[in-house]
Amino acid sequence: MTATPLAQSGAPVIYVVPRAKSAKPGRAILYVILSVALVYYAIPLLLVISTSLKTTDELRTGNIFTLPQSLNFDAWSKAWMTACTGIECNGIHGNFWNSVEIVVPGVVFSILFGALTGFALSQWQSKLSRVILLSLMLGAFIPYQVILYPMVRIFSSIGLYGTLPGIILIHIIFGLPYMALLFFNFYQGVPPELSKAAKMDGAGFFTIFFEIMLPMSVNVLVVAIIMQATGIWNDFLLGLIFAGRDHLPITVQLNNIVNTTTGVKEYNVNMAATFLTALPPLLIYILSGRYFARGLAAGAVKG
Amino acid sequence: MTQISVIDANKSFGPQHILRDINLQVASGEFIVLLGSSGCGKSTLLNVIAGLEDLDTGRIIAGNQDVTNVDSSRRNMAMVFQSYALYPTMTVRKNLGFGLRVNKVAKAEIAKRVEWAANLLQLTPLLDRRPSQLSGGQRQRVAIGRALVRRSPICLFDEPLSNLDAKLRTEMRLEIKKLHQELRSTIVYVTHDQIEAMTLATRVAVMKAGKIEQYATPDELYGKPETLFVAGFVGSPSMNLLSARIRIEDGEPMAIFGEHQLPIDAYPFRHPAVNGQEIVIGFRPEDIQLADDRTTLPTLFAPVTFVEPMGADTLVWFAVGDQKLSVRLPAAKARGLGGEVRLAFNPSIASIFSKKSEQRL
Repeated sequence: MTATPLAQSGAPVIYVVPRAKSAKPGRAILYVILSVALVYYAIPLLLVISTSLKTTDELRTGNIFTLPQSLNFDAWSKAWMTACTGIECNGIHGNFWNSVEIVVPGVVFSILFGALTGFALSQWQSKLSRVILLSLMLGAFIPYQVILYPMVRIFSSIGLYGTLPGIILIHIIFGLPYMALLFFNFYQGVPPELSKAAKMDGAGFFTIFFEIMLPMSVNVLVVAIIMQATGIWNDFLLGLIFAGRDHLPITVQLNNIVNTTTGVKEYNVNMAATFLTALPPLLIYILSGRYFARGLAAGAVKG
Repeated sequence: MTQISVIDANKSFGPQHILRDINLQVASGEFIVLLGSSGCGKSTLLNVIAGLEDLDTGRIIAGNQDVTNVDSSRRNMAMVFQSYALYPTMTVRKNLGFGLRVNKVAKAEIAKRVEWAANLLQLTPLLDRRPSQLSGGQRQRVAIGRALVRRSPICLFDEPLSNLDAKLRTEMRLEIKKLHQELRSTIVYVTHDQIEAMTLATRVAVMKAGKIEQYATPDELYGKPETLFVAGFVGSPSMNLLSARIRIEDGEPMAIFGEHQLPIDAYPFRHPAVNGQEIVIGFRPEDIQLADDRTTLPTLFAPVTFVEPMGADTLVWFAVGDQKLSVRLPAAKARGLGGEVRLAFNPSIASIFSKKSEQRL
């Protein structure tokens, strides 16, 4: 393969290297792998949607891969309003709002406290702060199951077990370490002169945090919101244990509906309920995917 | 408007003793420059005055108040940082007004002062831009403006010009000097650039290894350096420092270097010279002249080794024994100079240091 000098004599010589032909097979292989991955991940979702649109008759006659004859949303409305768990037939709509009630404060406060903690730790470097950082790291990676039972005992002893504030608080507690580390990482990359300048301008800790640091953190905030919103929405275990009967999140209700054993299995209703449950996190990813990639990179390198 | 006192200040970072028993008095309205090479503790001293670093021992007095334990946000000092440290999400206008807003100044007053500072620093057309849309010099002016709008009696500058190119640096140096003459606030200014120090300061504190070597006016610093370090650090081209030994002949002290000897009885010794004492004798390159027949000054012969033209002047290098000596001459006089040349020295304006203590004799 020869490189061709483009420039006239005397001018700086620029060599143009032709693109290597051998790259093409590599690229083809890449596309094949990507296509397989796409199909692998998309098929379950497509099957869920297609099955949810079928009538009970279609379910009986066809197999899982046959397409629905028409767009029939009966199963969706049944899943939303009247699907049964045992003797109650209220669908998932009530639990959808339960989940919203849990997710919104859970996301807001876990991020707020996480960001505050991360900022405080980035400002204050001492032996004690390193200990706190280390314990946060431990907290971020410890499996839930280990601390579930102690948490149940603690929560019931202070009367929070099985209440809405209880389940919100548990999400905040479990979200805090990872959020704190995420923000700590970001704020450590911020030049220390910024907060020094603000101090000289007369600003206190909270003024610096809310007026200077938080507005700089948009990308990380988006990442945090996505992670916490999807994480708390998708949570099953904590909701099952801590939420109590009146505040069961949608994931637990979905499980109850799908596992109800009376009568014929209504796969279309189950699939509709599944899709409705999965819809909010799906929308969050689709709408904010761009920020997500950007923010992850921002957190990893620096602002 | 406000004086500053640093009293017996000590500060260590781990095993590193950064500030060692620093004492510094800054009179109201003075422009003090802390000068030194990197790592000498000058920035730490500034941060300690600002309250951004705590002292291990010692006290800081600002005005009539002991501010040693006062938080930096309550010291009412303004500061300009080397990296400018502008708030990236705010416009220039908001950057300028932030300190006033935080200190609960009325909105109309904030607008007035921001406008005043913007006018003064030619920032008016930039008020609605973000820092990322500004050039280095513009950012620098915003950083200074942010300090000015506060109308703080004390302004601290941490190497504010070191990120600018040479031309802009000269311009801003002049601007800062003008601002000080107009506003008369007390300024403490950190730099490693001796030209900035000489041009701006009313007094300069030269620092080395956590200590103040000399604290004096630029003239005194240049003319009568107290220590060998100051003598070598201040001035460009730097002072000639020749190692020598004192010999007293008939009660008259002579400096002996190699085969050369120079009578130095005209030097104003603080303590009587001691026979055999090891000394370093310093002459500024411009204080040495070509001797003519009428000269009454002590002279010696030395061969020319190099000629360095510097524009208006030429720096001519001589060999004195195994030591080098530079002489600053008008370009015309230096032309065609070569071979052995007779040089005239004026010991009365020289600087002589003890080799052992490195202090001025």
